[in-house]
Amino acid sequence: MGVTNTWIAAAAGNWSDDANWSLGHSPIAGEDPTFDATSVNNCNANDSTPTGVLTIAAGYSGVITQSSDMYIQGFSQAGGTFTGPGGSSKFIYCEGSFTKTGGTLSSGTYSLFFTGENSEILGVTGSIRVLKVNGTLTVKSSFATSGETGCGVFVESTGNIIINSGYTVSCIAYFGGAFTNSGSISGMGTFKIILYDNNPITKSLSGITSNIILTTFTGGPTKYLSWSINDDINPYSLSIIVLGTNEYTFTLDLNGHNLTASSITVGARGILQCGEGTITTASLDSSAGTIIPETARWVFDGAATVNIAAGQELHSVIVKDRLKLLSNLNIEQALAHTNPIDLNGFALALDRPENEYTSIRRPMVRAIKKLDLGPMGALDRWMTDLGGMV
Amino acid sequence: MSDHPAKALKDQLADDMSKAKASKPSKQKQDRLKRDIGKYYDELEKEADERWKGILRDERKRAQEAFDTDEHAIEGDPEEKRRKKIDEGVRTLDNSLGWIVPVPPDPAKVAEVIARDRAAAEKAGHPVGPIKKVNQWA
Repeated sequence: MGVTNTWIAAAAGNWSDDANWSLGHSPIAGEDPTFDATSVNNCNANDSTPTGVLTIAAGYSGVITQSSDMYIQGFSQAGGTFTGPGGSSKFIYCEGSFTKTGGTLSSGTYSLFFTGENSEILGVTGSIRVLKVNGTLTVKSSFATSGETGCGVFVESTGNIIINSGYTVSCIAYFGGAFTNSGSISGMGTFKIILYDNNPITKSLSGITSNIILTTFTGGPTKYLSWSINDDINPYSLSIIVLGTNEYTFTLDLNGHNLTASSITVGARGILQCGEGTITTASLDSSAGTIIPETARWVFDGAATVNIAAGQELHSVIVKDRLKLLSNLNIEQALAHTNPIDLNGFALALDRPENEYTSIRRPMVRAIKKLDLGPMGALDRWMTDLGGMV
Repeated sequence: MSDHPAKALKDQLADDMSKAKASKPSKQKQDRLKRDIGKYYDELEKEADERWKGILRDERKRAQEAFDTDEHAIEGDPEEKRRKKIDEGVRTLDNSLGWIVPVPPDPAKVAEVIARDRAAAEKAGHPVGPIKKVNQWA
């Protein structure tokens, strides 16, 4: 904590005016600029001198309007209104925590750049123009970033965003709004990417181990959306959710890369173009969406479930432990499993029934190749046959 | 702040906006409200210090956006969002008046805060009074 330097302005005034502060100078490093009931007059924050924690107490009822870059150790708002500089490229560079417990942060007007190793963002809702991180930021609130050109989420190579469970960072990636992740986005929360009328995108989603939702605005997209990845991805879960009622779809093209996620959900008008890589999951639900199988190998791990829409199929399937059907399952090329598959009242079919690889006494489809190796050895052999690795 | 003529204008606008919040007004009525907001800001800008005119122009735009349709909603109840935008608009009108009409602080309170903060600063070996500032980031 720095020493307190309190706003005492007799009327609306500039931050840079020494006479407006209790210490007789505008705040410097080691001083916490503090707005409280002492003076409730408006402030034009026009000074980029680094300071301590910007504190806006509950007793302050004026507005602080940012008009220059700000370098602060932290931000704590319990009252008043803070408004950013809107369309300009000015940032609040914050080394510590950014916390709002009261007052108003004018949505969509300010940009945040977190530079500290132990930053948090709490109580912030609405829209942040740009969120940049080159330190470590823990997210403990749900907010969006603006969709305007130059806005979005940018994680630099030294940056980490940890999204805590129950919170969502929504990146509105239309009209030029974007995201770049050269660091990591992790945690049990959700990173949501919202498209609207974008042209086809080829962009990495690697380094994101939180939940990922690829979605659209509530009104739905205005064209057919597609996203091709250019390296392997391993989110905790992956969902494709297309909103609105028009005919447009959203395709995620794995483009030959591997996908590992504990659950995969393809919603209505969502399309997963599976590519030629390996998709590892414990839960696939595309009962409302579309799977384009291509030649991808599906590896179901743990106590897995699968629920796909009628008429769709997977190319080849390896079940490492258990698989329970929540729908009929058609497989084009091959099926390998060590334990019986829980049909759960549904049908399991192979286009080539001779390609069922199993060591159980009674194959699920039709036994052609039975192996007497141990379960893991058998899986390795089958995977080699299928051209992949367990 | 209570005697300033712009305050009466603002109170009337806030009243109209709160009616618009209760039930969605017609497009015509919304356009009229936007025009009235414009008139309020015309009054403020006439009186405003040159330094605040840019800020007031931004705030005018933000207050008028209370009646713009949000076609790109992410999620949530659109009606609740509409009401929230009007609340934000009313708050912006309030805030804007602050650039024109000062709220004089209590001199005794200011003196007390100055004494308190300076004593704490001196104790911490921190400078007090005007200083030449160096911005390492600039």
